[in-house]
Amino acid sequence: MVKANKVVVFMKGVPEEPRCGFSNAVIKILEFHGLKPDVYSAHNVLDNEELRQDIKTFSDWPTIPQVYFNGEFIGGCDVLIKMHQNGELIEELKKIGIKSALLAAQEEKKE
Amino acid sequence: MSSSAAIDEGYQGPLASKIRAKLSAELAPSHLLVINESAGHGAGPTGESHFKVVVVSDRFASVARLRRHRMVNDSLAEELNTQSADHKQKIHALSIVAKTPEEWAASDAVPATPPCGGGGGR
Repeated sequence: MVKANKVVVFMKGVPEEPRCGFSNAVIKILEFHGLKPDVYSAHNVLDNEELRQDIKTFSDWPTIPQVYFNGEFIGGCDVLIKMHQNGELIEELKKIGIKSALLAAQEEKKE
Repeated sequence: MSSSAAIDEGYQGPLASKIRAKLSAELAPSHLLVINESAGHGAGPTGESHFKVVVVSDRFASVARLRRHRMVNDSLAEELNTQSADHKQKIHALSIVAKTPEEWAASDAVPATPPCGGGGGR
C-alpha cells in the first residue's frame, strides 16, 4: 500500500477537505511543490480505524499524517515543514523522479 | 515564529506534568517546553489533548531529524498510544521541536503549529 505510488499520504480527511491542521499543512506543502492530489495516493484514516492503527504500527510512528516516498517513511507534519523550509524536500522529490514546481520556478527565474 | 522567551506554555495539568517528567528522565534536556495548545481545539481551558514540545538536548547531537522525533515519540509512547476510557490521559496531537544546545543557541525560534482543521475531536 505504501508503495502503490511514488508519493503516498495517510491523513485525516481527503486532500480536498483535510480534517486536521497537520494533514492540511502536509497537503499544502505538496501542493507548493506542484503535487496535486491526482498524482499521489491519499488514504483517509478516519474512514478506516484498522488502517489508522496498522499504519502507526507499520512505521513505528504514533501520529497522523504520514508521508511515504517510494514506500519509505519520510515523516509527519513537523518533518515535512522542516524539509520544505531547508530545501531537502526538493532533493528528496528529485530522488524519486519528481521535479518540484519550486525548483522549476527557481530555474525559470535564473534564465 | 516566536522567540521561546515569549512562549506561554498554557494550562499545565497532570498530562503536561507526565510529559515533562518523562522527557526530562529520558532525554536529559538542557531546555524543555511543554506547550499545551489544547485550548484552541474545543477542549476547554483545562483540556490536555494537543501539545507541542520543545526539547533541547545534547543527546540529539549527530542524530538525524527523523530519529530525533522517534526518540521523543518513544519517550511518550504510553501517552501517545494508551487509550484511556475517558480519553483524558491521551495525547491527541504532538508537535515536536528537537534541537541540540548549539542549534538552540543559534536559533530559539519555535515554529507556529498549523491551525486545527476541525477534526471533530478525532
